[in-house]
Amino acid sequence: NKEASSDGNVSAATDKVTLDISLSLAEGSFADVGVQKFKEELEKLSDGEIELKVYYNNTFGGEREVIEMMGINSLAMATSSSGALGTWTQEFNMFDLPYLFRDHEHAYKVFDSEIGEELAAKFEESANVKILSYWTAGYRYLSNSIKPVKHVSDVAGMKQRVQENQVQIDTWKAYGANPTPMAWTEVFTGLQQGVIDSQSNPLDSINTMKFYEVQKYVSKLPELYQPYLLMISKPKFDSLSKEHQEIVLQAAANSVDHARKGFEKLDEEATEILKEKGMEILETDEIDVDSFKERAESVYEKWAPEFGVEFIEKVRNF
Amino acid sequence: MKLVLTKYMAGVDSLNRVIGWILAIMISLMSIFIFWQVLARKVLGSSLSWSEEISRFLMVWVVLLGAAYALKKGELIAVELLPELLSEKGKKILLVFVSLFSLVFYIILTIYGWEITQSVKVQIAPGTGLSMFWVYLALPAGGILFILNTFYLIIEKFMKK
Amino acid sequence: MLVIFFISLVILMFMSVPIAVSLGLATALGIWMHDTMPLMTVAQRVFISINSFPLMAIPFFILAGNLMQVGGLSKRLVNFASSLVGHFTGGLAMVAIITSMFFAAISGSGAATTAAIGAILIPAMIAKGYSKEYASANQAVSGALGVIIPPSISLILYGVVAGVSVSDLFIAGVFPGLVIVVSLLIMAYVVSKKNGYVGVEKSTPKEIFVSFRKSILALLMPVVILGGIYGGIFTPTEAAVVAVVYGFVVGVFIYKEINIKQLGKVLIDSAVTTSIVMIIIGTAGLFSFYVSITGIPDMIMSQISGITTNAIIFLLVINLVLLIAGMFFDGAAAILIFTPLFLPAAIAFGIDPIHFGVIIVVNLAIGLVTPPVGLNLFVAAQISGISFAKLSRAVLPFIVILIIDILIISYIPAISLWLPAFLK
Ligand code: NA
Ligand code: NA
Repeated sequence: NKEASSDGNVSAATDKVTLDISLSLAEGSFADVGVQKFKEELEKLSDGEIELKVYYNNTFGGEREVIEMMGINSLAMATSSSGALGTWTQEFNMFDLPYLFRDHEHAYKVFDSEIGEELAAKFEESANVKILSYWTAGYRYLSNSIKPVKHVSDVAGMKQRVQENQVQIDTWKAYGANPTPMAWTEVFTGLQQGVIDSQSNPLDSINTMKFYEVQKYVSKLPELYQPYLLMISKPKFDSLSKEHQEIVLQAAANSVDHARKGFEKLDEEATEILKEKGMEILETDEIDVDSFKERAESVYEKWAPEFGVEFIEKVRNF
Repeated sequence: MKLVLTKYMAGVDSLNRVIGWILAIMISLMSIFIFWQVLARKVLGSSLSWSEEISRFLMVWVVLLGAAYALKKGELIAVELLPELLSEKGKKILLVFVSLFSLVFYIILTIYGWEITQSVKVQIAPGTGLSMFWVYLALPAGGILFILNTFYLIIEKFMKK
Repeated sequence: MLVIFFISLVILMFMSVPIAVSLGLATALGIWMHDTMPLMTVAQRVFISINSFPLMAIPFFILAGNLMQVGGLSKRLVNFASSLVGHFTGGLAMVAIITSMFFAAISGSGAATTAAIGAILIPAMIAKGYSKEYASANQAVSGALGVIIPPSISLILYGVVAGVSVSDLFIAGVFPGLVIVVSLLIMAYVVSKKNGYVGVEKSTPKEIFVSFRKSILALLMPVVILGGIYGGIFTPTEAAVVAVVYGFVVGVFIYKEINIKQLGKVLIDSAVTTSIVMIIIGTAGLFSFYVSITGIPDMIMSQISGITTNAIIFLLVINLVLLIAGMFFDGAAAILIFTPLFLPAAIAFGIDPIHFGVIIVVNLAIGLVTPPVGLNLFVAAQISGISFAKLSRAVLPFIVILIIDILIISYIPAISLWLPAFLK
């Protein structure tokens, strides 16, 4: 049944809703795979009443900006890695802790548990933005232009780009590297000119950003694992009819598996593509991960109390 | 009435002088922080996580306050075609219209700028730990200085006979 | 709705409402008419457009340029250039061009270059018998090199908007800058021959060497900036701050020409100039954001591909649009507005984004000397004391030369692209 529009008329046209969604990544990226599924579900479940309009490559701004825009209802929806969310809800910085998750399954279990729900609730409270579902951005793997990195001693003195984030800086200091905070827009040029030697990102992004033009080596060091979030402006969500709210929630839930599997598939394919582009890729079992983990213990000693030592242990052993 | 206006102008003059010095200090701090960042990385081999962010925030303040300051000095860039074609009296009338239209924008900047400072309060900048409130505050602060200086310019134009 | 939005912009600008305010107010009107978007977006977008690390190179290059000027570096550059080319027919005009080229390699702005060199050379040229109009026009045009020869505020801005490497753009600007220098030198010779503007006394090799030695610190500056960026020592923003410290040390401690009072003035002036440029970046960013979500870029794309599938004609159309835009818009605003509109089409036509950036920036550099909004004209007219209208007429022959230059730069991509490719 149709709801009455503000001027009292009842018509099909007034029920049509268009939602804009802003992606920081390009068409065909892992983010897009999830969003396309969400769009398909949304339009199917709503019989075409809800339309999703997808904008790529930061049309609406970077990750911090789009969240802020959703908070004030300037933008309906966005996807983002967890990086920017710590600005609102400090607990999200926990995903910057190294070696928090063993693998995808471990991460998914935590996202889908009450831990994921609590984080989302806190974020909704402070940012005025609703997290609809936890997708994945997987591990940020290390690429560099100097040598194959197998052991922590290989990164000594390496100028590693980190996000503007103290946990990441501390981690790379603990490794003996030279962490350099740098805006995302400067990373490619920085690598090209040697202002930085190395960086970490999902393989799919290393591919779409063409880092293979300026980097030779990739190490699948399972260090940082981040969720990737599908979000909607809370005021926008609240303005939808009950029926449409249900549809949005359902479509988001239906997209989760597809988005996660889509990421895993692209991540695997990227390995082959990057090899074809001439990169040397070290698999995880070819790396002395423990040598890195040992150094990273000091990071836990410093930062785990910030989130609660017991809580972090619970997440690590979930 | 005339006394009140003269006092208003003197007050705005002093305020702008102070703003001028604040601008000088802020642009110096920006230079120092970023140069320090270069030194830290190149010479000391360790990076700073706060320098880039705090300098960026200072720049936002410089731009908003500095633009309002420039307005008073008549230095904001405009298409100065129409005023050239008008008589003195016509110029005065035009100034009133230009000021009224501009005021609408300055008021938007002030009111909605203030509203947004409220909604970003909870955001904590990652590098400095500063609440984004203090950064966005540049919008309403600049907006108010714009408004004060706009009235200053109108009064100045009409008092000068 | 879009029509109301654009018409209000034109009316506001014509009324002489500051460009930054016109852009902000017109977009506020657009957003207000937009059914869902709150007006808070206006304030937020202005903030977002300014809050960017690469843009921080702008205040630093402005400050560095001002320190150089007050610190006595521009004076020494003038002496050096004068010892080199001063004795030719039209010598002082050539000195103005060559010194502007050197200064442009330190300063990021066209108006700053005009002010720094013009303050010395316009009076000198008038004293030597050049007409006020010619001296001012020659300087205003030479000052435009400030945004073509790296470092350049315009190239930084284009790099940020287009998402291409600012360093590559800087390197790409070198030869187009030299093309313009050569064309201006030829023009200076021809005009001076006709009007009987003779050179100054020829310098001896010893004098040349002395003036070279005295200006060496100024000449080293671009080496530090560009070498530092290209050698992977720092980012363009960091290079800009290194230029500030360099200018400060040279001006205060080596030449000892800057005292504490002057330093205060330089700092305030630089902050104000920064604000004048960047408040436009703020509201033009807002404007451009609104334009992009209304789908206008797609419309333009399909319009253009409907008109022509020929890259040569496409470039001609783009140059025409940018030249007209440059007449009315300030360079920063025009870059923010037109880059997102035209870049996708340019790429579709197979034009390299770096080359396209140079085309945009050179066109808008011409805008610095075209009335009714021509920053360099304002500055030069102020120095020489002639009216803006008179100077606008005197500059016309120069604009013809610059248009020929932009066509050469547009249709020979190698002028822009050879050097960055060579250095890789
Ligand atoms: Na320059
Ligand atoms: Na112009």
